[in-house]
Amino acid sequence: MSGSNGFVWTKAAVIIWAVLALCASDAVAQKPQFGGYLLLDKRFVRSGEKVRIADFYNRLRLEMSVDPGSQLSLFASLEARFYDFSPTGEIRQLSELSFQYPTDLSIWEAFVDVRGFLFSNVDLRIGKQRIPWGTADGLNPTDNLNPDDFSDLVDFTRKVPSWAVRADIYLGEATLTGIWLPGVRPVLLPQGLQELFQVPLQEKGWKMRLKLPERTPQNSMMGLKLSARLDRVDLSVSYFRGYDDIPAPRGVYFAPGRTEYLFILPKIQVLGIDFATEAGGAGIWGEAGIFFPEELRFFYKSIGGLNQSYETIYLPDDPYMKFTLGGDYTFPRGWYVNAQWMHGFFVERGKNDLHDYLVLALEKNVLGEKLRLKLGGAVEKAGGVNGEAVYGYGFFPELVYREVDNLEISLGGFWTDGDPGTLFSAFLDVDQVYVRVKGTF
Amino acid sequence: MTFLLEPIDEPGNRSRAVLLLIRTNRRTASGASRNPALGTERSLPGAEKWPGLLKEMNRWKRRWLAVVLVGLLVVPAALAQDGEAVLAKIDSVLEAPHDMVALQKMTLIDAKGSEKVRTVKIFAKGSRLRLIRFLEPAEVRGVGFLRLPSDRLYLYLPAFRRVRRIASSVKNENFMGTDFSYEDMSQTSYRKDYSVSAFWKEKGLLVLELMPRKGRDVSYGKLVLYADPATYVLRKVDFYDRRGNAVKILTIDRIEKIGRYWTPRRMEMRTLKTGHRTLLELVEVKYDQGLKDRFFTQRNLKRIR
Repeated sequence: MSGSNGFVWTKAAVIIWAVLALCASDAVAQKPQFGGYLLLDKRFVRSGEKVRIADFYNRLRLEMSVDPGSQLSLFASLEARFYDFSPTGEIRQLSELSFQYPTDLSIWEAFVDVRGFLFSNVDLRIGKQRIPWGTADGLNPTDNLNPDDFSDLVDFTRKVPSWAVRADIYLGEATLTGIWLPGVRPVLLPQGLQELFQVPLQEKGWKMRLKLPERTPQNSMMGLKLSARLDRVDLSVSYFRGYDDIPAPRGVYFAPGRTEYLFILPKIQVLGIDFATEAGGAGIWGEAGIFFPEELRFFYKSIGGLNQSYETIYLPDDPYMKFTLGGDYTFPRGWYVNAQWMHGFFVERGKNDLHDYLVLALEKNVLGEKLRLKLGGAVEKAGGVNGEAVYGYGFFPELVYREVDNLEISLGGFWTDGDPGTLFSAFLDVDQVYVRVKGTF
Repeated sequence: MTFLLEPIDEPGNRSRAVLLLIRTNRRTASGASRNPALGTERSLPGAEKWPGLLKEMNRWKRRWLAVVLVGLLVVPAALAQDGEAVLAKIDSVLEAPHDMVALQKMTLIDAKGSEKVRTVKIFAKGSRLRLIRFLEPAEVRGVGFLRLPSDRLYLYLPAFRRVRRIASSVKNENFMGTDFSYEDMSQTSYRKDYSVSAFWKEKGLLVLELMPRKGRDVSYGKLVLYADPATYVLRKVDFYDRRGNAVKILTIDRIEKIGRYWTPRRMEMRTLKTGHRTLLELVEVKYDQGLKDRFFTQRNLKRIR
């Protein structure tokens, strides 16, 4: 965010935050609780033969929660993402703080919880919130309610909270959850890496326009989930009707001196099922989403000159299934192993374009639990152009040091390689080493 | 079996108890009223004659051998039976409150003496239901842990708004950096997991050596419990691994009667290998708050502060 528009939003966010805090402290007997963290982040990115220091954001998160009554809770958090490098390119901008020190500010979460709404077994949560679905460890094909947060590729399983109304009805051991999301939110992408999402015939300089669905009740999104337990197995079935948060190309306009791609968010319905249990001390989980996409046609329009147009099918309406199967185990002496097989990454769609990923993590705490060693890695298998299998690889080691409470220092890496056609091959230019310092309060 | 309640000042072991039982049987053998047959044989006429004497000696040897064998076979079972009774009393003390809501301060102290403090709120009912909420430090504030019957364990991570089921293999691991494992934190009944293999008194305390019951999924190879003979409140527990090495020591003091229940105000768990220890102090406790089973749910795991 930059410029005057960004500054207005910044002020608005601060005012909302201040009003919430003030209301909470004045209106209720119970004092609000404040907390949050400061995360300082440095990225050293390999770019060809060079290593550059990326202009990656740092984060300040402020959180406030209060219980004005036995049935009511309020929670709000404010996130400021501030950058270290100035994008200043003109002398006149040297007097503008927002150019010299860019900051993105947003209300990250803000919701009201009502416990026992109308009936003692009904809870309601209204507002901007994170709604996690699924039992897999971060790789959740049924978790489609919130858009993906790919702003940090190292932490690609994050999601952005969305405005929603959520009702949980507790029926003994079972829970029925209903969600309504009035708005449709697209994915949050990393700065300067928008081209990671490939489109046919993409060339630099071509305009890429995104058309979001009309803001009508018919276009709002909804989800239903029933969770229950069968002996030692936790089970749930879910249904989601809404939009894929990853833009898909809808068409391209060719005009003299101007070429424009049009993107939309495709409509999808997802029938989900997941389970979690354990056997012999090992955790076992599985999650599958059957996606029912609407047929997506891609048009070519030539305006002026030949004035031609035609359409092809970009995504057929054939259902396809994404799934994740996984397990974990803690061995004696504290070795923790986590393995997951994912069929179909978040950005993949269509039954012929789903890759397989084997994701492994090995963790061990040493030095009296002050130092955590983590070795993460992934192997990707995809169908190549000629039908032959192509492979991609990722390696994600991390050291986390905790000398004192509330302070965490991390040193990690993100390296990928792969054959053309694999997802990992798209990240070759973002291989990086990161250093993070996180202080929590 | 009254011998078992006689004081034995030396550090107890199984062989000493066996010897005591043998002495007890010898005294019994000399009393005709308890065993007429033995008394009759002792008064056989002509015993001064060598062949008869040898025969008599052989008989005595056989009888002694029989007594010793019987002792060896019966004593462990007898000890165990008595120990089991004591263990039942220890368990009954641990399980006495219907439910409990407690605020605990945990101080983690490493071998160099540097300290970290954790504050937790614990809701417990019986030995099967636990809900633990971390209040401090800030980095773990709001993290919740729920234990349900059949070893179903759940962790709530507020940063992700996610309740995650965790595998029971984590039971051996330290609970949030403390010296208490997940298993230690939820252990309130020993009988279902362990049986008594030896029992004695030491320095005025009842001492029970416990071995895991067959088929029970526990992390320790042996426990030695020290309990107050008057109240059956635990004062100390020695933890051993599967290879018989001592790994941790729990000491319990500042025991007070709060309401109707004996309550330890202070516990210290020490890991022998690292010298790291965790001091657990009871800041506040309320018993019998009428917690229902349905309180221990994921719904409350996410909400209770």
